[in-house]
Amino acid sequence: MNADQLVNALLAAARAHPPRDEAPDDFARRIMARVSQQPPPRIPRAWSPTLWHAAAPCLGLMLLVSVWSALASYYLDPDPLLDDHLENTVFAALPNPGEEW
Amino acid sequence: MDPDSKLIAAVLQGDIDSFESLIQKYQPRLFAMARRYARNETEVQDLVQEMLIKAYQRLGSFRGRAPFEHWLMRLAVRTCYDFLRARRRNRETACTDLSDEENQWLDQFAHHAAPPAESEPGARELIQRSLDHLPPPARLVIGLLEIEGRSVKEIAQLTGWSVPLVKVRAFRARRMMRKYIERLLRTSSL
Repeated sequence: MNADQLVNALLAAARAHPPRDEAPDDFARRIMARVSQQPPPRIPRAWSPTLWHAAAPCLGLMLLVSVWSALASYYLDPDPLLDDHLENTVFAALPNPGEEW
Repeated sequence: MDPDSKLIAAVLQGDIDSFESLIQKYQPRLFAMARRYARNETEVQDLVQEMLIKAYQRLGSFRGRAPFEHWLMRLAVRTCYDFLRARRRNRETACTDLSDEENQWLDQFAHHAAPPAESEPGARELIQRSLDHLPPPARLVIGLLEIEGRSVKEIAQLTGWSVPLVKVRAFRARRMMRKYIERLLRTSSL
């Protein structure tokens, strides 16, 4: 016997007999009795206005930091060795290329 | 604003009784879905109850971008999937011999030129037995794709799986079902 044919026949049998969709008479009332014991549904969107309130102070702080950074770089003499210090720090962990060659 | 959205807004504003109208409207679809996966009426009612309580608790997360029906069906399918997984964990799979009706239907299928009627109890018992044997993802995908006739894309939306995953699971599910049927045929000596 061909198993594929049998599977197809069985699936056709399942399609030919969709399940009933009736509900028991008092089912909705029973669910409502359960629902009334539940806490009210939460609205997740409630936190979004709070985030919007926080947006203005964050923007102000960002502007202050930007202005402070711009003024500091204008009035203070930049360290001429800063690039060298940065490079030494970054490459400190690497072996000396001169030694390799 | 469609009628469902009005009812949902009323529930969210504290008018719990509006939820009963949603239950009345959608319970036939939920019962039909639950009866595909649950084995008896007690399980069916427990499953539908779980779907509706979850729907109530999560009503606030309904955004209204898609119809409420789609949102509810997605929740219902995922609840059915959780139910199948829980049943599998508890190893509640019945392993009994084939009934007389099943043997008779198989015998008629194997030895007669005219295929037996799909409406016969033997066919229904056999398909139920085969589906009960499948693991939850296979059971769900066979139910949605082969029996309910939904598209792969629709199943992906309902289950939250990707389209390729649905295709792979559908392929494996059918293969598992065929293997199980072959084993049944061997043991029933047809």
